[in-house]
Amino acid sequence: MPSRRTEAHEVQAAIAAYKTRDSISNCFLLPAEIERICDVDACRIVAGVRNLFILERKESCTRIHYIINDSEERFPFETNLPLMLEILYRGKDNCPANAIDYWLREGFHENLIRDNLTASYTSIPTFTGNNQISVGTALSPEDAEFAHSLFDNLFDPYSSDRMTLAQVRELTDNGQILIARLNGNPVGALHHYLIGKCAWIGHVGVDGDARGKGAGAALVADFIKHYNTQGISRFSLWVQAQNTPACAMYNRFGFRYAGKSTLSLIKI
Amino acid sequence: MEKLLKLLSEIRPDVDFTAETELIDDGILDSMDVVSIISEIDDVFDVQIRITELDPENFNSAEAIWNLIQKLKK
Repeated sequence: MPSRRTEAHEVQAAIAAYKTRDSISNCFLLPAEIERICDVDACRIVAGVRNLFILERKESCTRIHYIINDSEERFPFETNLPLMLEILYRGKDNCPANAIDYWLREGFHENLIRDNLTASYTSIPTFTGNNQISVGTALSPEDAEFAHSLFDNLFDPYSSDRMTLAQVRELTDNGQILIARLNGNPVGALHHYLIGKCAWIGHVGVDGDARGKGAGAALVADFIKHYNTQGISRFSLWVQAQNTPACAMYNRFGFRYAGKSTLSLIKI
Repeated sequence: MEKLLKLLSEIRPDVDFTAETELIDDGILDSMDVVSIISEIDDVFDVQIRITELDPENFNSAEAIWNLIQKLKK
């Protein structure tokens, strides 16, 4: 990352200066998000002649938000550290080829496609699961360590929001981690949060040996019940489009495609 | 207004824009939705909303977005 600290007003001014109606861009940063990443000194601007790149330092890589006005102008930043970006697009077949081409020419390669799914419930859906599986809120340090280890092993470190053990411990303290147990042993975990009146699944995973036994569905059912009893009726999540068992499960719960997807590209 | 509702439902087909009045505050629209709406409004209604001038309150309902468009057209 370039060393000079970047202030939020500089980022906003740069976006205003570079972004036009015809720009190729994945820059969906709103003022509050810009403030947040600048406040923790995780943001840098790399400005070309006609293209602008905003670098956001993440736990395991640097994320690029781009505004490209000249596809012949090269990405002007060299680093040995992992780089990633997400191309956000509407409709499963509408991923912009010009943006992909630009980044492939820069040595990036395609990684994961994720789809946004949403569901609404006015009452708690009925769910009949495996009675050997129980779900409860994570309480102990061991639960937090299990959830952290599971998420760390299952999720791509560059394309999803990787969490530290300290972050998972804090989420556990806040009651935001559910644990699924098969015959009393932890086999799955789900991280959830609320934005406004919409409940989100942040991370969910099931240990390899326990897959196909209903632990994932039991976690999702408990997540829905947890929020529905608080009067929350809207639910949302991002799922890897390649993960067809997970997509089918969410479909059975009534989740539907919300019209937007992301393709991540990485350079490591 | 019909043109706006059509535009909005194309961006978020899962949302009832005639009924929701807290689109931002309730977490129904995210930043990608808001930037997409701005971009489409720019194209369809020929008004320019700069992201730096963005006020989330203007995006809490279809009516609020409509009022913003009318204001920018003047």
